[in-house]
Parts: sequence; structure tokens; C-alpha cells
Amino acid sequence: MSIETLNIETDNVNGTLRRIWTIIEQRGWYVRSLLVEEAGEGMARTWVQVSPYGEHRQIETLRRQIEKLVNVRRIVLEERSRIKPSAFREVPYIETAI
Amino acid sequence: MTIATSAAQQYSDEHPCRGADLVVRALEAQGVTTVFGYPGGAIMPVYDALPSSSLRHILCRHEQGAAFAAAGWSRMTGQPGVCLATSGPGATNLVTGIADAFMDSVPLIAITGQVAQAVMGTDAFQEIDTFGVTMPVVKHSYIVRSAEELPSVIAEAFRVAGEGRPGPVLIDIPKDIQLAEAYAECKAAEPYHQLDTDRDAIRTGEELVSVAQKPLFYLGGGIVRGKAVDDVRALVEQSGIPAVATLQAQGVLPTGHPQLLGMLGMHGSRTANLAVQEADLLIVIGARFDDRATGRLDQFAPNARIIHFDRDISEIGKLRQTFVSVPGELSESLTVFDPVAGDISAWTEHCTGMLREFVLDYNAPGNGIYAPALLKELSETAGDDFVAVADVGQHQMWIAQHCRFSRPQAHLTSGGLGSMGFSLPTGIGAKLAEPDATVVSISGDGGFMMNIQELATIRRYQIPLKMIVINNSRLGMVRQWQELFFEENYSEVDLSDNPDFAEVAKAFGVEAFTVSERREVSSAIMRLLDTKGPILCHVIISPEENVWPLVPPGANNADMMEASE
Repeated sequence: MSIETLNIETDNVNGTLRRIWTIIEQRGWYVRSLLVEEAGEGMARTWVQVSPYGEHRQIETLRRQIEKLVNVRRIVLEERSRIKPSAFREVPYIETAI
Repeated sequence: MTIATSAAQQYSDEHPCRGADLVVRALEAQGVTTVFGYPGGAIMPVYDALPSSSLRHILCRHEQGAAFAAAGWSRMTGQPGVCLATSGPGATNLVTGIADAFMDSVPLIAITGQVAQAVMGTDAFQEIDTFGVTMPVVKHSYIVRSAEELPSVIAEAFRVAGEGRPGPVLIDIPKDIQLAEAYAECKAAEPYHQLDTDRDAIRTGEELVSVAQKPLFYLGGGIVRGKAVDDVRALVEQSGIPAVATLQAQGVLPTGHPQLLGMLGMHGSRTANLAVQEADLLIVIGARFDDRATGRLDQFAPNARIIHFDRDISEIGKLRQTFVSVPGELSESLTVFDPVAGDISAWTEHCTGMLREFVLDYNAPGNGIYAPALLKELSETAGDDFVAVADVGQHQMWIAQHCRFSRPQAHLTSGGLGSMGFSLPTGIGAKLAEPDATVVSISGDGGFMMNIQELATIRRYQIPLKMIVINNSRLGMVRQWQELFFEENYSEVDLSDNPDFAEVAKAFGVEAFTVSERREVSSAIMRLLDTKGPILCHVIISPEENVWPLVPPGANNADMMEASE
């Protein structure tokens, strides 16, 4: 089972989180864990940990599909892909299995 | 005659005006001349503002018709069409049209009224979460929270709808925002952001072409949306490489072009499908490897490396690994792309030989009307101004297979969503967008019934749309699949209790006639084309007729079924 975490910087505007969530589920992935926080200067930061339905889906395609949303400023794959985002502060940059 | 209220007339640059007035002024500032819609409670302030604007409003008889008509305008002009509806059922009735535009990358602006902010979220009368309902099928959407931001939201919406890979944008406006007064300047259209051209990737692509022995262009609808048709025509002709085209790319190369091998896919030509399976290099331009085009994906073009040009980078590598990825504006990339093929004469002769061998056969038995022959004759008689607006089903494939298209706008079809009911309202939008074109709405009996109320729109505005209803008294494509893949277990496909469509059209005040024999076809076509006003030709055909060839579901594109099998 592939587990990936996306780090997404967005405009902090109405509907952005909902739009990201919609794309993830619409494109055949499900959300395992989610962390959202205000990041100042009208921005929000979201970490979302996802897994695909089936093995043929590519995270890079999902990353690009989210990247093209209007209010998304930047999206990168987290190196700490198997850490729950809520534990990022406690477990920085260590790759472990859930 | 509708008279605007005094509230609608009082605005000027020095005075505040209502949000509703800002909406129409902002639309005017974007160059909009025509909008399609249907009024209702939560959009009433905008309708109050409309009569004092320069906008021409076309009252469709169902919101779905308004959405399709607006998108029909877009498909012809390349500019975003605009549709209006009220909250609740008005908005939900737009959804199929919005989704259709989303799937086919058509720029569209959908403006919906919403209940007042104070009651949003309380299950108020005609309240629905339009923003949420439409979210999966829009490129972007807004709930407007202050009247001041209406002009900037509308300007941005037009940019988003048309920029890059086009798509629909929804603007949901609560009624209190439409009524609120504000000072705001309406902005002209915003410029589009352009992607850089990846010249290194293009050079690599050129190297691949130079060593390929069986190169082939795979042309998609992105070429049309990216306004790169002329660039593609020049590239194909300069390179000498043969080409196949998707359903949405019919007309990118005109029908009969010597390098065009036809449409690929489920109902594609034998030549096109076999060429794809044999090719060692596919140069994909603005296509997305749709399952109706590829058949069984893991057996599609098994010998081919892929060069993929696309404005939408998320389409590159989505379904098929590419050897060279070229994201960017198609027109810019194709201008830089200068491939020089090696000696591919054996390949091109082979392709030409297949074109000669696999010719279409119009010799059908009996005296009944053979729809493919009728459609071919219609398109050839109408000439370069011909625009076919297909509905969905068997006739849709016959149109793609047999009609002559001089340009991509000559073939409007619901490719991605496959929406029955598409043709009649889309034809209205197309004809209003290009009055000099010979726009022919062609439907089956099933699809025609789904938006038949738009005959009233045609009558009201005397839109000189030509209409053909090909009536086999069945849901033909479903019937065909039940015959071939469900052991002839015909389930709920019998429409033999259809009304007489010619009489129905006459009841709406539209001239109409019926033909059922082959000898009547030529004169029917002439009557259709010679009539100045709207006219409907009701064509009776056999319920047994099927669309050939057919790639069965799950098969690869070389495994085509033909009529005799």
C-alpha cells in the first residue's frame, strides 16, 4: 500500500480545502490524515496523507492535478511520507512505518 | 416588454450601484453580448438589471438548455459563453451542461443566484449548496461575499475559464449581495498566463522523429481549445507524417486530407486503428488517452514511444508513460518543433494503401434510408459552412465517421460526458454565435426528447437552425450493445411509442416534415438547406441498423468487429 504525504500551500480563501479534498477523492485516492493551519499573509498550509484505491495510480499525477487548482500556490511531496502529519513536530524527517 | 425598475436605471460612475448592476456591467466589460438563462427568485435582481444593459438574453426553456447553449456559443467562438440560473433547482439543472463543458474543456461562465447570506445553511427555500454540488465539475468557483468584489471576481472568472486548458467557472451570488450597493470599477479582460516552451524537450522529440520508421501524429481536442489548428496543419504537412484524430479533433485536418487516416478508437476507422497499433512513435498533441480512443490501454500502440505535447501537464504521463514530455502552449511549442523524418516512404505508402483498401461502403440493402449515406450527402451538399451538432448515440458516431468537416468547429459533439440532449440547445448557441454558418442539429429520437422544449426557444427567436431527428424508435446504441454483448436481451430500449416529431415541431410553430424512403433523401436535404427559417426533418430508419466498425469493450483497437461478424 502506497502512502504519500503532500505539503500544500494555498490562498486562505473560501472552498480551497474542500476543493483539494474533492480532487483527492475524485481521482481515486483517499485521505488517511490531514493537518491544516493558517500560515499568515493570506495563506494556509495543508499536509495531507493519502493512499490510492488500486496500485496503478501515480502520486505525481495527483500532485499535478492539485497544483493546477486556482488557489494552490505550491505543492510538494513530503519526504516524511509515512508519518502522520499531526506528528511532524514530534518526529521530524524520520522515515518510519505506520 | 420587460421594464427595468428605477433601481436598475440609477447607476453611474459617480453613484453606487447594486451588485446586480455590477454583474451586468462586468459582463459587458468582458465583451459579452449574449447570455442564456432562466430567471427565478434568487437571481431576480440580476434579471432586473438586464433590460437596461446591452446584453441580449436568450430565454431557454430549461436551465440545462441554457448551459448547453452557452457552451455551444463557446465551442464556436472559443470565448466563454455565459448562462444564468436561480438557486436550488435552477442551479442543479445547470449541472449537466457544466459537467459537459468540464469534460470537453470548454470555457463557460455559470452565474447562479443564491439565497441571502443570512439564511445560507438553514435549508431555506430553493437553497442548495451550489458551490459544493458543482465542485467536481468546474475548473474554479466562487461564492461572492461582497458586492464590491463582483467586478474583480467576474474578470478573474473569465481569465480562469479561458486560460490554459479551458473549463467552466461558477459564480454563486447570494441575493443580498445582488441587492447591496457598492462603488466598484468594472475591469476589462485579464491577460492569460502563458507557459514557457520547453525547447530542450522539443529537440529530444525531433531526434526521436528522425530515427523513427513508423511515426504517427495522434491529434486531440486540446489543439482546438489551444487555438493551434493552423500550427498543426502546417506541422503535419511539412513533416509528411500521417495522422489520426480523436472524436474531438475531427476537422483539425479537413476530411479527405491525404495524411489523415481517420478517427481512432472504439468506432474509429480500420486504417487509423491499425496504424496506431503498428506505429513506433506517437506524436500526441492535446490528447488525453481517453479510453474510447485507446481501447485496452495496456495494448494500445504497443510498439510506440510517446512524445506528448499538452498545455495541461497533469495529462502527461497520466495514463501512458511518455518518452518525451512537452508541457506548454501548443501553438508556441509546435512553432518551435521542426521534425525531419527519415525515410518513411514505406510507412506512408502502407498507410495510404490501407486507406485505399478499407473504404467505407454505402451500399445498404432495401429502400429504407441509410443514415450514414444521408449524413455524408448532407455534409457534402452543405459545403464548408456546414456545422454538425451531434447528440449522443449511434448517429453521433455516424456523423464522426461519415460527415465532411472543413474545420473543428464543423463538428460539435459531447465527447467526454456523452450527454444525451446536447444537440438542440448546443445548436442554438452555435447558430447565434455564427449566424452565417449552416448549423444542423442532428439527434436521435432518444436524445431529442431530452431537450425538446428548446423548440420553443427556436420559435421565439426565430433561430434558423436546421434540425434532423434520426428516429429508429430505439435507444440505438444501447440496443446495439444488448444485441452484441448481452445476448439480445433487449431491456428498456423500445421507444416505438415516440410522438410524431414532425407534428410536435409544428405544434411548437416550427416547419417540419418526415421522410422514410431513400429516394426522398436528396430532396429532403435541399429543402432543409434552402429553407430560411428553422426547419426540422424527421428521418425514419430501421431499428436494426448498427454502427461499424466496433472495438468491443476490453479489446485492443486492432480487434474491430465488422457488420458481417
